[in-house]
Amino acid sequence: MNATVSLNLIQTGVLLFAFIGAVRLVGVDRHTTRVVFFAFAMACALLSNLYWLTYDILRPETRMPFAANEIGEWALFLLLGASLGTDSVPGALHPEAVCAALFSTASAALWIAWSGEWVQDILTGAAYGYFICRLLVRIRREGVFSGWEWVVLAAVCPVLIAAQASIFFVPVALKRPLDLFCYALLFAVAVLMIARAVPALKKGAPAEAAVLRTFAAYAWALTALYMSAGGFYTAALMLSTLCILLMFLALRREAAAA
Amino acid sequence: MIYAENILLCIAIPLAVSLLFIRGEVRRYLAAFLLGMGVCLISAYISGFLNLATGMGDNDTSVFLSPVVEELMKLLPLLFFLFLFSPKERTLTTLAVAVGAGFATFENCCYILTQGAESLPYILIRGMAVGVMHIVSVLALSIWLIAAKRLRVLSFPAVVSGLSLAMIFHALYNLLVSESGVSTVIGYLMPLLTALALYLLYRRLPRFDEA
Repeated sequence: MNATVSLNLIQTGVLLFAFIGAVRLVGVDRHTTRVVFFAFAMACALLSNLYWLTYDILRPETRMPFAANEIGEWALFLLLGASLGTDSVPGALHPEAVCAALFSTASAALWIAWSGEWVQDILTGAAYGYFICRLLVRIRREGVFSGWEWVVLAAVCPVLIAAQASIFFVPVALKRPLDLFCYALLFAVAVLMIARAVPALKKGAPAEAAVLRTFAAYAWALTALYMSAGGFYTAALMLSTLCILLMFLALRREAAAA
Repeated sequence: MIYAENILLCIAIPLAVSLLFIRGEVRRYLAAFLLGMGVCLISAYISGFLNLATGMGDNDTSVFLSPVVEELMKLLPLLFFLFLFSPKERTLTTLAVAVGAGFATFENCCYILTQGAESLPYILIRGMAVGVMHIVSVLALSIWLIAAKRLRVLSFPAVVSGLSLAMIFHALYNLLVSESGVSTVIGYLMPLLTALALYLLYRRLPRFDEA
């Protein structure tokens, strides 16, 4: 059994735990809607993971002709996005939403360039874009990120996209260093996001901020996952598993505080 | 090659005529059953088209693409009933079961005509696995929609999530039975075990409906 399969098994266990935990939280006061959406999202991710795991075991080292489970990922993004929208968001156009849309579009373009799957990657990009748009608007509105965190995000995202895109054009000798630079950026930000999310889970910190920080950490961990291969993919999978647990803990804290 | 449209007409005409002489829940069930058969035919057309358009091949199309097409097609009548007629929860699950049963019946008819019906054990497995799977996936989808409605989260993401669960369940079944060995056994048992679990849940639905 290789590392990815083992990690997928662990992630399936974590998703099952989060799903059962979220179902038990349903019914707690005003945060019910958010928890219901989260429980639905965990169910989709769980079944999608199970499908992926089964494929990996039955047909190892082969490329899936068509990923039937990808709709589970679209549903996951839509549900997580919807879970953030329980309160109305005033204003039509937000700068952070525009930036998120640009980032998701550029990411989708890169996925297409890597995989060649136009329809699936465009739809994944749209669902992912919806999620990060809602997330960033909400984070801005609640004032969760400090000034320097916005600066880091605003600097890293375009640099990351530019570096990833340039790998297609630079001479062969430069490809590997540029690739490593992208991984360094991806994982540095992922670790930063998780490091900022964990203290937000402590008692006394605002519950909403904890939810938004853990959601942001998960969104970035998935970004890293989608842009990684080999050992880096395994590392990103570990981070995303950790973030699922953090999201559940944040929601449980929010429900308890309600 | 079989003439699926002719088979559909042959089976559907007596059932359609009987609709004139029955009332109430039975009539709704039979109408949805016929709809399920029609949905099966249209799904076969779409899967056939996608097979040619993508060049995936018959086997990969039936394992990976058909679940997506078939579950989407089965969802459409449910959504139509749900949003246009706001049916009672019990009525929606009845319609879902009928659509699934109609779909499975017509698919089995076509399968038997092309592959033959000599092997009774295989026919039984076919009936209990694929036949039950079509009912289970659409019934689970209808229960999911009911739950979303009751929890006041019935929205586009909730519908997509229900659809995704039905598609992945169906695709998982197809994937498991596409490989020989233990996975096939697990695949064949999966719909039956899920049907048992849903039956236990379904028995609780009257209370759910009255609440």
